[in-house]
Amino acid sequence: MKRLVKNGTTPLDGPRPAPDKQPWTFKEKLLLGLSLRDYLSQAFRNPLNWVAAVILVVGLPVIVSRFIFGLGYVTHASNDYPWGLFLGFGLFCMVPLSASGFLLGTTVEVFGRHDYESIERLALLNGLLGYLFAVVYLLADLGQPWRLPYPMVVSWGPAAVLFLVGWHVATYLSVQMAEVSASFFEWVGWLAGKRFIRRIALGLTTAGIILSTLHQGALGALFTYAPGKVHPLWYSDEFQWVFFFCSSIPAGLCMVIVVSTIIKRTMGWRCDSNFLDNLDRLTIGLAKGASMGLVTYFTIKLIGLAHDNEWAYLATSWGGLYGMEMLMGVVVPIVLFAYSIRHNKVGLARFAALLTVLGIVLNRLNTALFTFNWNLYQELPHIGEIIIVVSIFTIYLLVYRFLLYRLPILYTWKEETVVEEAVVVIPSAEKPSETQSLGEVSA
Amino acid sequence: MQARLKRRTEILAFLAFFSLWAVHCTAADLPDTVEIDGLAKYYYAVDFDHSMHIDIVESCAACHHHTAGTPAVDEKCTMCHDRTEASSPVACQRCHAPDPFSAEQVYSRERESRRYHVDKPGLKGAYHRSCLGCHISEGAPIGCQDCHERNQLGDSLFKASLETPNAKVAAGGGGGTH
Amino acid sequence: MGKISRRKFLAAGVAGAVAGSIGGARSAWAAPKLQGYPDGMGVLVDLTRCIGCRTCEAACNAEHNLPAPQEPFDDLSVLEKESHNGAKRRTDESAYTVVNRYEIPGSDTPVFRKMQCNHCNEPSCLTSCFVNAYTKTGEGAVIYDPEVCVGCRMCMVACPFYVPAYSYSSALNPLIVKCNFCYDNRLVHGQPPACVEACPQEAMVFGHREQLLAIGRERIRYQPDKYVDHIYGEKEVGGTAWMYLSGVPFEQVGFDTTLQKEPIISNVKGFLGMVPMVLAIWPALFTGFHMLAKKRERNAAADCQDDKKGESR
Ligand code: SF4
Ligand code: SF4
Ligand code: SF4
Repeated sequence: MKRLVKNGTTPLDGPRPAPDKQPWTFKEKLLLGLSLRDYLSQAFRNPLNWVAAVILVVGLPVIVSRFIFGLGYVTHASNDYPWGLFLGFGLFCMVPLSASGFLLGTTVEVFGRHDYESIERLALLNGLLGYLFAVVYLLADLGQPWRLPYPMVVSWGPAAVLFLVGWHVATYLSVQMAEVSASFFEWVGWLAGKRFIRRIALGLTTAGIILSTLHQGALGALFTYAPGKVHPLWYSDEFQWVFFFCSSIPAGLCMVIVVSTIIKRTMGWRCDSNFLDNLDRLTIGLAKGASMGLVTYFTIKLIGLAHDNEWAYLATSWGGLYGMEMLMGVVVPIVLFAYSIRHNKVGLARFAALLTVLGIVLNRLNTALFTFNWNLYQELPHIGEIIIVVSIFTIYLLVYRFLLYRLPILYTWKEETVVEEAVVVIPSAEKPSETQSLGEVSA
Repeated sequence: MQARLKRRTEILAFLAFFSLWAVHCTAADLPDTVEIDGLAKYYYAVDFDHSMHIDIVESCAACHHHTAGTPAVDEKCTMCHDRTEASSPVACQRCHAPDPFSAEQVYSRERESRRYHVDKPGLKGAYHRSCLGCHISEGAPIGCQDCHERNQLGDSLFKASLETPNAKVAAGGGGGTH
Repeated sequence: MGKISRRKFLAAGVAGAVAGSIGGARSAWAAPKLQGYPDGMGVLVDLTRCIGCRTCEAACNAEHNLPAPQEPFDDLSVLEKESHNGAKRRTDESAYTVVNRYEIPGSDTPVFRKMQCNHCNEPSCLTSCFVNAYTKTGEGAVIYDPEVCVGCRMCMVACPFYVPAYSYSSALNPLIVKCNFCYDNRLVHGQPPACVEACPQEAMVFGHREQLLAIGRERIRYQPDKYVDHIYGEKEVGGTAWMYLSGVPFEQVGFDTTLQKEPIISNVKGFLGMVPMVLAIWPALFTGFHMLAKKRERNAAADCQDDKKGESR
């Protein structure tokens, strides 16, 4: 694709240029305005597609066999470790990394920081896909996935934290669908739908904040059902949900930094100048937010240690793991962020963000998997589980890329005739004016 | 239903047998062998060699507490039961119910909850704990099938037809080892 | 219903027969009460009496038509079996209960321990289940409804005793597998659990939980040298219907002696209590923030009409 763009092809980014007023057909939109031949040849040229193909050739049969032969076929079928990688990674890691949606939604819609708007849609999409695939992982893990709607419609267990998680993830997923659908409506060309979404954006965002605060925390609270099983260093009766909620803030922000970095490197052709020009400045801004979140998280972790008086555990080998996680995922990023913010070193901030993301992933895996049953025995995930997790993640990346290529996430859809904004020339000026007028409607 | 009937019959057989035994004993006519078939569902009846056991234990009280005329061995029992004359309930079953956990027994135990013997074992428990206690300390056989030969139903209960990978256990005939 | 069943029971008692009621009143034991199930039944397991014969395992297997075990029940070598990870045998998809053998340091007599669901007073399997598949019955049994179970296995995570197992081998209808106190086929008919009835040693006493506590205390008082002065399950995680007496420290026979005294649900109450607060306060709070932001924005716009927007902040 890069090569095509270099050679002068313009990827589809708005209605067909003026001379012929024909709207794009759906097929043309799907193919980014390229001919089928061009589209396929660019796809075949991309080595990443080959890697993905290999993974899926191996992985898809394993996924299918999981549903034909049951969970026992691809996991250790452990009664002591009821949750494996599917939930350990798929649910507990994907969800905090998808906090980006509500964080940037809040920044833009509630706090009125419209300068973050150029990255808001990416954050929303990241949130939506993260949750969506968390649910996909969940479906792979549930014994009877076809009963997924049961907690909603058949039998309620409202006193259970998982009930709350289920409802919130489901509702929040719809909220995020609505939020992201604005770009989708632009793309399919149904502007009324888009305007409606813009009008209810504030409501959606507020709902998102509530739901996110609760279920990010709820994921932590799930472990308070198993007090003795999670190692004390990763566990606290009172603070577990606070740990999970607090760490989801830097996780979500850093995920946006990481994703935007990858996009900038690999998908520059798809981004418009509004996105690219603002990215470095916004990255530093996000880094500020993330480092504040990390400092808070670190403080609470320390309070948790002191409150439960767990210092002695630090000297054990578990303490080593804990130290590594905190150092790599929290302390070092804090230092790097501080330095990069002060000296405006975007590259360093990006590296720190990557560390944070990995640190959070490690934290969730430690809580759900590695230190779970620390008194019993440790078990490495079954190879089938690993293959499925990697395959689903590959599908996630493919879907992610598919949408980024097409929907106006990284670029601004060139609208034809919108009466209110007659003069739309400078991209950086366009967005604020538009939202302001809409914001007034909603206020 | 079938099973319940069967159980009922077993219990009846038990009762009949023990009342007979009681009559014998009060007549100071000690049986030489006693047939115990309380577990008739899963095991063939046991021909208990009473006279042999009389020969090797020091006192009837080792099994019969104070009821057979000898003073109780446990000093906590003698606080109440220090008389030497025989009391009428000699047979185990007269005090130890074959169905200690039936609703009837559970409630009657609780109605008399202030009585000392509130924790009285049922018949099967009383037997096994009494017999096995000595068998263990005296080095007598302790495998289940050393005393109880299993019948067909018993074999199927224990899934005996399954391969037994461990030859040592198969030779021991199964049942509790220490 | 409670009164009826009590009367029913008395009638049964007078008739000298077991209340084998079919239909009608469900319970032969007691009236379900709301708090703490004071009339709940229970079992007191005395480890000093267990000889590790596995009769209870066999009886449970037969009672519930469970799949055949790998080794016959008279194969006692399994008592010492450890899995690849060094763990003792545990309940799994073909066993509601297992007996394990523990060598005690400094003693040549091993101790056997039967494990099954302890039927907690405030079961964390129940409180953690998001489709409410579990019920604590008035008789004290914690039973499971396979019809609504989604298979998230939260209850397995939550059970402090590692009891519920999952039939992972089934692709179409995998379910939680767990001792049900023989609820349907025995308890409601006034009969004791199959394992209790089968035990040759009467290592288990079945009765009302309160009564069992009294018996347990009495045994300890009567033979203080024989028993550890603790009834495991009296207080652990809010109390359990199945309780244990032991002659050796409980941690030497596989019991978790670090469990909290409060029910597991009390750990979660902090979080659950916060939920309505967030629901009530957040909307107002964030709408407030939004209004402030808007006002500032308008002021800023009014102040510097000429400034380029977007770069000012
Ligand atoms: S039947 Fe009784 S003695 Fe035998 S293993 Fe079970 S609890 Fe122990
Ligand atoms: S022992 Fe476990 S499975 Fe049984 S009631 Fe308690 S929490 Fe539930
Ligand atoms: S109570 Fe019933 S279900 Fe539970 S272990 Fe005993 S026999 Fe099995």
